[in-house]
Amino acid sequence: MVVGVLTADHKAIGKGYIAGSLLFLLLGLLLGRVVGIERLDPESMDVFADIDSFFQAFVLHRVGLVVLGVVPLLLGLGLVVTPLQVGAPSAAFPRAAAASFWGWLVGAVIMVVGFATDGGLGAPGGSVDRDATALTLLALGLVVLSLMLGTISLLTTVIALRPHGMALGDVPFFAWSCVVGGSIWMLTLPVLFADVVKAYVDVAGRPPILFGVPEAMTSEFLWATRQPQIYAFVIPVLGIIADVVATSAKVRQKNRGAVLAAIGAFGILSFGAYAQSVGDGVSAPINAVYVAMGFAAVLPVLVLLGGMADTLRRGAANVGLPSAPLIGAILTLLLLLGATVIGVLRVVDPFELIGTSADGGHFAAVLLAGLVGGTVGLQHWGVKLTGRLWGQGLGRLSVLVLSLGVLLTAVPDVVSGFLDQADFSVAAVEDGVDALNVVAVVGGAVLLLGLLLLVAVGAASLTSKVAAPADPWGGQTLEWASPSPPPIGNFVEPLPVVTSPTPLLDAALTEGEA
Amino acid sequence: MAADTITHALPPAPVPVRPRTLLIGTSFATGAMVMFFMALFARYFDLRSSTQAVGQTWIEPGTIPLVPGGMMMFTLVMSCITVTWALQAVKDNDRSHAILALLLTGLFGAAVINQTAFLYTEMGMGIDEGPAALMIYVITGAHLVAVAIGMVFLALLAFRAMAGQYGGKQSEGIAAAVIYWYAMVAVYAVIWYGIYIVK
Repeated sequence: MVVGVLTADHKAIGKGYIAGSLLFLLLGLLLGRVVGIERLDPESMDVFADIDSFFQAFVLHRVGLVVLGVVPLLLGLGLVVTPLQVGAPSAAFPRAAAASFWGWLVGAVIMVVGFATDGGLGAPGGSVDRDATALTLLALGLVVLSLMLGTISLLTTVIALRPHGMALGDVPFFAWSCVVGGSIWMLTLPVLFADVVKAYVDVAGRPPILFGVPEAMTSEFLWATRQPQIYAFVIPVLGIIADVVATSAKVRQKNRGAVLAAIGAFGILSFGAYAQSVGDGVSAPINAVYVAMGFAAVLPVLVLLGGMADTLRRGAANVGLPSAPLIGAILTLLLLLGATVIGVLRVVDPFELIGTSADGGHFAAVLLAGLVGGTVGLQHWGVKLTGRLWGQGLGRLSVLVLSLGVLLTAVPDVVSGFLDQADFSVAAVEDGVDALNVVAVVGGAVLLLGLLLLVAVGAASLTSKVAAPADPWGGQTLEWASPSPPPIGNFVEPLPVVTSPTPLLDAALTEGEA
Repeated sequence: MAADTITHALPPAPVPVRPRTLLIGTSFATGAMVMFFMALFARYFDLRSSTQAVGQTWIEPGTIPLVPGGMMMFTLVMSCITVTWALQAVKDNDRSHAILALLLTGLFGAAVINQTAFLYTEMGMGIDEGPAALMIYVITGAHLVAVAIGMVFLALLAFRAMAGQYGGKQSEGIAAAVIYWYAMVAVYAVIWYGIYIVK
């Protein structure tokens, strides 16, 4: 137990992040459904005591899914996998990575406790417990700082610990997407942290005057859950998709540079720290940039879709019955494409969707696509996590159910946005919107089911007595040269010489020729 | 025959490159710190312009004395010189001067904290007097924390230098601290000009 707490092994730290984030995701999705049920008849206040507690749950659901759910899930996966992908015996700054996990966990628990004790990040009626709000802000600050610390470890691992012969452009797609995503996180999470500090200083110890005023505080934070910033939190998913497709097709990715550039472009287009006031009236140039970025975000996803389709076409003979990760990767890419299209609709001025429930629909589409992508990564690298093969039948079902859940959750909110339904409202809902709200509640339940199925797949693999091979997929990159599960130090045999982005494929071809 | 044999020494093995993890990690952390302050500055200048646009006074003239802020700028410029001296001394394998320069830099940092505390007493501005006061205390307080972090970083490096860890071929740690320190001073330059002078 003590060893577990004090460990600086990147795999244990990453697994801690993954387990914690899955727990918070389950709780977050459950909370989302409770909020959804209240939305069916908000005037009645059947579930929540008053508008303020309803709003606090709404905000906790949004912020929590980001900083307690999807971001730590992808960060944890990155901490487990990227050192293996770059052939490193350990993550950079392993103790800092461990501190990041424990700081995040403690902060996350305190944050939930803060919310539960009436310490929400704002309330339209102004009724919050100021001390509890200060506690929540302190916890949110700790969570954000911890995520930054973990990101520094992740970034430094890929950049500094690569073996000779592996240029930065040669790292596997997931490692590259972690570099892109981590860099954007390091540029934007400090802005969120600055917002937390401002609000905390305003709230702590005296009546707030500006940033900590309950009626206005939420607007300081929700930019991080909206376009374009919300895209930043799912950037690593693009790398997961590209790695899964190339591995499944067992062919080299053609136009690799274009795929790397697409991931990089998606990262640049997701920088959202400048757009904090969009919706409240901003200058014309900023608005123009905002709209242009909204449109442009579709392009990298389309490039990636083309690249993946070409790879699958060339490797069709090698695929056979599609694996759960491959099905999930394709579905995730399609979901992300749909999410970016919703983003385009959202910024088209005549539709006037900003501030409507389309905000929530877009948030759900992007972030939950990120969740599906994260579960795809878990199943793809599952043998490195548990040392056992993950069941494919249930795995396929989980990604299908999750993807269906994303659609049922996001699309109704977007359609409601066209019917002028506000993102948060306690007024009676219009005819048509109430039916869409019912569909969204059902979608949330489907999502929960899909996530439970995924957890069941992972748990079932732990009970298996059959050890997994090092490389169940015929992988191309270095992580598949380590045993399953990888030991301390990660590799027991000398790594192959790295002369291309696919060293294991090179080694296999050389052996074949010999 | 043996006398005719010409022997060649094999070329030396390449010197293993020590991964520059600390330098790279510190660069990312420094970038994050700069973004943190940029976010605060953006909000400060945005609030100031919107307040002045409706004809209101942002900060009453004479509220913030100029001299302490200027002294701090001068102190931090001096600290840039000493921290650069520390890096050069390490590169020259001059450990005693490196330690002296690191200690002097730390001393300058302590002086800045002292000067900021003095400025707070001179300003006569309560944190809850309005948005301007709130933002000034948030920004300058955060900068104090940044100075303190830099001092702790320097102290750790000084101890390591005393233990002989750094030398001419291994100066990344000091270089990392220098990057952080320069960025921290650059942030203060914005505070000095944007808040203490222009207000």
